[in-house]
Amino acid sequence: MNLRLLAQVAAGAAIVGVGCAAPFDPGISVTVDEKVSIAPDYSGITVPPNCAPLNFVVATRGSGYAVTVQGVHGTPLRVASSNSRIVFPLRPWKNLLAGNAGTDIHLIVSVRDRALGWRTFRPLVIGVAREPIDPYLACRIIKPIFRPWKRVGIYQRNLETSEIREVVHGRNLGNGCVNCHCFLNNSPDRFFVSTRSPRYGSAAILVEDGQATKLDTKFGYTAWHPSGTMVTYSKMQVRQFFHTARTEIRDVIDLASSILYYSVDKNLVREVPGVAASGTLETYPAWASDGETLYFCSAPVLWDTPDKVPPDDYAKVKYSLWKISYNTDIDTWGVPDTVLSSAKTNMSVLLPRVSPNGKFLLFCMCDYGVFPAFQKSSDLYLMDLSTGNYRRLDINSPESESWHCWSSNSRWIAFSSKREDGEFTRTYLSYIDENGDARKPFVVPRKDPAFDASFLQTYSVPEFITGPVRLRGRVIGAAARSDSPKSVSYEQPSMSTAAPSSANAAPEQ
Amino acid sequence: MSHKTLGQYRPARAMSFAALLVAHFLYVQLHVRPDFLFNSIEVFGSSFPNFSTSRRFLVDALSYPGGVAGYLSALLSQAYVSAWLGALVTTVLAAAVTVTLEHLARRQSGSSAGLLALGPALLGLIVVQRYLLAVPMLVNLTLVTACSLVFLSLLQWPSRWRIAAIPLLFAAVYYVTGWGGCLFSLVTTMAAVKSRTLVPLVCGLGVLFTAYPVLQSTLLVEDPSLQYGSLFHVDNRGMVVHWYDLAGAGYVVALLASARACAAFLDTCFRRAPRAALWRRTAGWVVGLSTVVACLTVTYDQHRRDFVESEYLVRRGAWDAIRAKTDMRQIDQLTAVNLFDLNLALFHQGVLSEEMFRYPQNPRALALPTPTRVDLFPVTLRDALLSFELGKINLAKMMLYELYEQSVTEHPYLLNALAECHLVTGQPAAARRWYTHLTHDLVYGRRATTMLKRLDEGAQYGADQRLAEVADRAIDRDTAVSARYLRQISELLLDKDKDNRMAWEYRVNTCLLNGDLRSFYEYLSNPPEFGARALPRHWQEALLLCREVDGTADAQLPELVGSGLQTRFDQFMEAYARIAQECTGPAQANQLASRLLRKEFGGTYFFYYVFHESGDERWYR
Repeated sequence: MNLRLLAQVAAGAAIVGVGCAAPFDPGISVTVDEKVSIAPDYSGITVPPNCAPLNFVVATRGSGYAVTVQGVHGTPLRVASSNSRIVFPLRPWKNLLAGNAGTDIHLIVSVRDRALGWRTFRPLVIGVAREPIDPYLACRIIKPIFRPWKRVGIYQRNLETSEIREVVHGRNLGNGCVNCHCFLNNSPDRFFVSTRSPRYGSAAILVEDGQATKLDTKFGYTAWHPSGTMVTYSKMQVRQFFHTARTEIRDVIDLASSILYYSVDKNLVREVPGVAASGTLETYPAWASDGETLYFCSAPVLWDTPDKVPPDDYAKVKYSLWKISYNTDIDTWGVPDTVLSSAKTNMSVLLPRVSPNGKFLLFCMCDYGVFPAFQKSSDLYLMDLSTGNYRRLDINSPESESWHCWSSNSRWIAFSSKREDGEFTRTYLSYIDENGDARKPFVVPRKDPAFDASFLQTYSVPEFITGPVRLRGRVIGAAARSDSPKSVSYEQPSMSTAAPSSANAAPEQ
Repeated sequence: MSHKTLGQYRPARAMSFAALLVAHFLYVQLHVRPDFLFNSIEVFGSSFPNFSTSRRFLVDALSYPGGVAGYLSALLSQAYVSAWLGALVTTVLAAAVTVTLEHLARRQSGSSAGLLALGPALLGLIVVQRYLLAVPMLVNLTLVTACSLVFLSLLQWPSRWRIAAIPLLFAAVYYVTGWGGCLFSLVTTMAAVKSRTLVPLVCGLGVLFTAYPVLQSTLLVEDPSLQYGSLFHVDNRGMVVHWYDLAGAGYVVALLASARACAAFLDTCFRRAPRAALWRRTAGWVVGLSTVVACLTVTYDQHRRDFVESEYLVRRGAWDAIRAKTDMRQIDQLTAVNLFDLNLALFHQGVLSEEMFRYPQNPRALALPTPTRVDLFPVTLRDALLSFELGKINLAKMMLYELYEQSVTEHPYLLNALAECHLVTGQPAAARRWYTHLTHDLVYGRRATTMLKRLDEGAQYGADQRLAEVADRAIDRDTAVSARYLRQISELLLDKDKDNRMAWEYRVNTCLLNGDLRSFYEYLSNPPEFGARALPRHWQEALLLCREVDGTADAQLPELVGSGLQTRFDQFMEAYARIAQECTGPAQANQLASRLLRKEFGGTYFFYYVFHESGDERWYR
């Protein structure tokens, strides 16, 4: 009873406080036909009905700020502030959005100027989609790493509340590196994460059934088969090199790479027949939603001197998009086939991701190479799998776009973009309609809208998940530190020892 | 039991205490120089607390046990940007912990702890003169001893109030000071042990409650994942203790545990024999002060001081001071980093090619050594700053980013340097992000705000002339290289700007250091326009060698080389030939000649070329 009374008094005081800070009277406000500038730019975007509050900072200077959010349905939401940070209360915001799913909401910003009084700007229109977004997004948060690393962590953000929590951090394994998190069908309960640690070695950690298991192998870019019986992964000899004058200093090349697959039940690693071969580089496996087709990227090896970094022709390495069929029932593979040739695009095709409904394939194309995050030219493209037609999406920027993923309902994509400054990646969300048209992307909302403007780390490899990862980071860390990893069997020799096989002919380039 | 307050102290004691504080202040300000700590990228990057005026920083500090003390420590530590302000903060904290400890000892034993109360202050002084940060320890000890006094007052309260107040006080101390809660529990247990109530039991439980996270965080630091998610805390930041924290806490506990014995001893010395009191008191002071001096002398870390001071001087561009410091060293004290600093100072004074061989040079003297774990931060920072100044912006940026990644705390200087790199490479939006972050810094905030304002106005390079000049000479031809070769791209600098004097001089003098006269001559055949100055002395000396060694440079010699230098060179060659004739073999000749000719020719390039060593005679005394 007392607590309730206390809460009511506190709420009343807060309302009075806010009101005192910036009393706003629509009657005395002058309407100006100008678009108000806000950061992040949320004008004209489409948000999911379960989106966290779109808090923002008003760029126009003033002594008081008032914002009204109103839709066709529900009670308008009004927020007043004496500073330019507009933060919406969670529950009224969620009610408003949920009530207006499938329609638009209007964001009406008023700014009080000491000389001109209150001015109300042209409303900003925000579309509210019918389809919700997966409630969580897992991503890595790291400083812009060059050679040494010290603090690498995988985090999960609640897209409905903007809460953020650690999944696993490198400190859990002696300041090691955690990377390549890969969830089975967007599920938070079954996933792989790769670890690298000077003390505990490199390993793949399988999280399932509330347990983490360390495998004595390391995975590169990983893709779960939708059935959950196996994962395909790339195994690479990655080398980093640097540019003397380019603004993105870092660059990456795979001197050798191939695709293997790990049968979870049999605890067995095999090479994908017809794919792993000398003379070619294969990477970025991605499964179609029916589990019958594996997409991957492949490029010819252009150098004879494997130790030279970078090789002379590093800028001529262009990957093509390939696919190979797979029969789950009898564990047999088909013949590789070109989907999109770099000869046709004159660009490097990378990071294929198939939408869960099987209709679209989202991928990157950049001038050359294997790592789009370090290529300013990298843009997102969408291919209609029923026709094979592809197009560059309108959501791209002059800076790098990469590391994209699909929500489980195939309506939302998340991707990393350096559009803000060319240096720090931020995660953007975009709505994809049934025709494959992408709506204006928006940066993942934050509780503190000014946080990102001064946050000196990058967000990378966003992955949608349908709920929170419940297993504690220390459990995953304990598995990574284990000195008795689960021993994995190999049916074929690993890449470093594999003899070139003419039978396993490389896909024609 | 008699209780004396500060107001009851005799004036002589107060005067003595004040004199000690003045001495403490002057010692820290003039001898230790707290600004060396603040400006050391290594000290700052590993242990110096960041402070931000942002609300977010405050909220974060309030979110974990020990965060409040950490916030206060971080705020006070920023005073180390200035020598006098840092000394003032350290002295005030030393005074505060001494006074509260003295009061505590009096309340427990009924008598003064005398000079023994100065223990934590002395420890603080030892820590700071070893170029570690003493502020957090002094803040925590002050808070704990002050709260212990409050606890002693609570013991006088009626029991029902006491029951409510004591747990609250425990929780508050644990929340505010973190690991200090453990010390507080120990101190209060000792204080309450004689009261026949449940209070000692509560205090004892407090010890168990707080010792667990502290031990866990400190002893299990090798396995950090175990530090998280314990019953009592979710964040170990306020729980990790250093050796000096343990020493300070241990001292306080030991002093209070033996307070009665100490008081009895002091009483015996000074009170029960009034006739001898004066000389005993004097003797006590002499012994006490001698102990302080001995402690400070034994624990003073000259090597570390040189380490942080040299970085300070380079960062400040105190070239005269760098040369003066070098002149004070013996040859065996001259490290590769010192030599690098010296040559940088010589360059900035415009005398690198005139005077560098007056110092002991070696083929790698213009480059930095491969950093070790100990000097990773200062060496990498120097490398980055030199690369930036030369125009190798990407190399500078890469090294600064690597420092940023490896720093535990982020030195605002580092962030500012990264912002400048981004401005030079034409990335104002990225620079803006660094500057926005810096606006909440107490020291760099004003500059960051100014730069943001200039960027808002569209000023290129933030209207900073220095940055514009660096941008003019920055490499603009893109080549992909491995990390190792990113350093070896000086040619690209001269391709971009032939008049890049620093790149030119470093390149040419590197040829001299390597004895590569052919390359030297090639460079000199096509010199940039550096004004109508005469050729620097060492280059003239090298030209003489070019003629002597392979017959080049003959035609140019009369106009390029002064006649006095020609005569000196001839004298050197004659003397060398004479000594060689008297010796049985070339090895012996070289050994003897270098010793005999060092006094007269040790500061010349031809001496270096022949004997692979250089330096005025003073280096070899």
